[in-house]
Amino acid sequence: MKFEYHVEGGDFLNAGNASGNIKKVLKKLNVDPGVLKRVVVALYEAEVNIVAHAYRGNITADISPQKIEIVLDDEGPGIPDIGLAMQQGYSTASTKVREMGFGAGMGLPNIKANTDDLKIESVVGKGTKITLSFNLA
Amino acid sequence: MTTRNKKPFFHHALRINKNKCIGCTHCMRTCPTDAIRIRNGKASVNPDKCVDCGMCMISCKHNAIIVEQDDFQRIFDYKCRVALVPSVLMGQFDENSGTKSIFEGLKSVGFTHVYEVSRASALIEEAQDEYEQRSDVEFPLISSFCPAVIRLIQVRFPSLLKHITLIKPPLDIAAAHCRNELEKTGINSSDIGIFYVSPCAAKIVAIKHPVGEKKSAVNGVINMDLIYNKIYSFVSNDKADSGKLCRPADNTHVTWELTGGECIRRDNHAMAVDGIHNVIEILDKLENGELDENITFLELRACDESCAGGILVPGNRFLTVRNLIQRETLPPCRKTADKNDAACQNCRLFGKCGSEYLPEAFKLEKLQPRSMLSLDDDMEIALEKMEHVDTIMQILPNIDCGMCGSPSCQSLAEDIARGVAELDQCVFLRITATKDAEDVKTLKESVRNVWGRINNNE
Ligand code: SF4
Ligand code: SF4
Repeated sequence: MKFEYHVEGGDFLNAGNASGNIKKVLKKLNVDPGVLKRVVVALYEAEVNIVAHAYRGNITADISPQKIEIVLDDEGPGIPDIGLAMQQGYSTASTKVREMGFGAGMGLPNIKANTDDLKIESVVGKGTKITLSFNLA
Repeated sequence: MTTRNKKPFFHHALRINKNKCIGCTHCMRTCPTDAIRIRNGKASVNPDKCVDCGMCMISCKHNAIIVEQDDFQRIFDYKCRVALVPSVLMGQFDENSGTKSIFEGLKSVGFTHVYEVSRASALIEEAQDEYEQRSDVEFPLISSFCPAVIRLIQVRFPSLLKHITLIKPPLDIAAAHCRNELEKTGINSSDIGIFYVSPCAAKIVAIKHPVGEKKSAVNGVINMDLIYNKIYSFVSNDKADSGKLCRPADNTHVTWELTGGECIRRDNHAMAVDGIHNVIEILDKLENGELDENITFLELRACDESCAGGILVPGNRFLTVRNLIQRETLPPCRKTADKNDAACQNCRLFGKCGSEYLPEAFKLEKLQPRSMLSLDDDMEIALEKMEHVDTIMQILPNIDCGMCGSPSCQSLAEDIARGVAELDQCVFLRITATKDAEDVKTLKESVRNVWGRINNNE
């Protein structure tokens, strides 16, 4: 089953709506609490990344009894050095964003730690597409 | 598949009085766990979903929701009858009513001893400090104080269960301490009846059907509103020589049951939240990983103003808070009081609730998840049902009128998918499905005039 959400860059008031909705769906589907927690934490972080860094983006979740796959596709500045961005503690969040409590420097490493598989494709000046996968079966 | 035919997981203290209930839907709309439906003109509660928060009782304008309690006469089954009282009972009276007259009031209705639950608070504090040092705990810790919150987490946030401190709430330690002290004076344990004066339905259930504990040390429960009625005239007429409010000698925190009571003596990494909807909001954030990592302790209470706002607490909650804060500023008893005074003697009979009770405090067992949100235990079937729900939602009006007996169109759709409701319960759909073409036209028009649409697709 597929679920789609739209995210606007800079709209911190609504940051977390998509992950909140997907969380509700997963609870209704009786997904294991441990897996649920990982999905929600990774997705929330990735969603806030779009709000904080990109202009806009779409989130598509594809849920089956075997697997949860979530694609976050944004239009934005892209990530110049994915290797660097993957390092613990690295954050591109501006001070303003951090003051609001977002992007506390956990970013991609935190997302990776919570997924079973993480794919990142990025084109500087165009945008970033990340795919989060979680195994259920 | 469904849990309908299984033995209910939870027991409850709230009952619907079918003679009084008129099915007005107020309770159904306010329930934070979506537990209530209207069937045959009456509210009916799904026992697996209810967390005993009491919101439904507060919302009921017809006094149709009642809280079960033990027959008061049961206290006379025991020779030694202890009223185990939370501070909020004392908080029903201001500084003009002395602690002694409250004690005398309780004696006048049949109790032989009075013991304040808050006397165990210092020990629980110690237990919490020790618990924090354990290597297997998950931060932020969530206090195990409020039983409605524990159940809420079991039902709606099972992934957060491991945050709850496995420490017995003060009430249980207080009961154990009280019993032991009485036994020390030579009284037989079987002669001791400890009756908790409860501020809420959740505590009643926690005593009668404990979660994470084998058996409660308490023998029975008396509702606070009943006790208040019984002792009110005594206490208010006894102003003359009753003395003033006082505070026990040991480290008794009489504000422990109020919002912030557990946080106030902690560092600024603790946070207090009261009101069940606020608690839900914070748990949602915690589950998303949105809470600041520096927050290490959460005090969550289901009632507005915590136990001062308990559904069985008769007085105004803000006045209760004020009275208790005043009492907390009093110096602890210096034992200079009158040796012949019965109230003083009662108070001093119970020594300090010391660290020998610490191991007892750690005896709360692991809490079990009880997710009641899923459409089906089997994910494949749940997915099918979810698609079914989506299809139904396309034709429902999405105005949550409640006339179908479900709190929202979404919950009706889910009830239908679960097989416990029918589509023709939707009054909107029925109106627009009338056979007479002219009728349909005018009906649709008037519906559109009010709601702007007749279903979700318009
Ligand atoms: S006590 Fe609370 S959870 Fe239970 S039915 Fe009433 S409102 Fe719902
Ligand atoms: S806050 Fe206190 S009175 Fe209210 S449900 Fe929890 S324990 Fe009971």
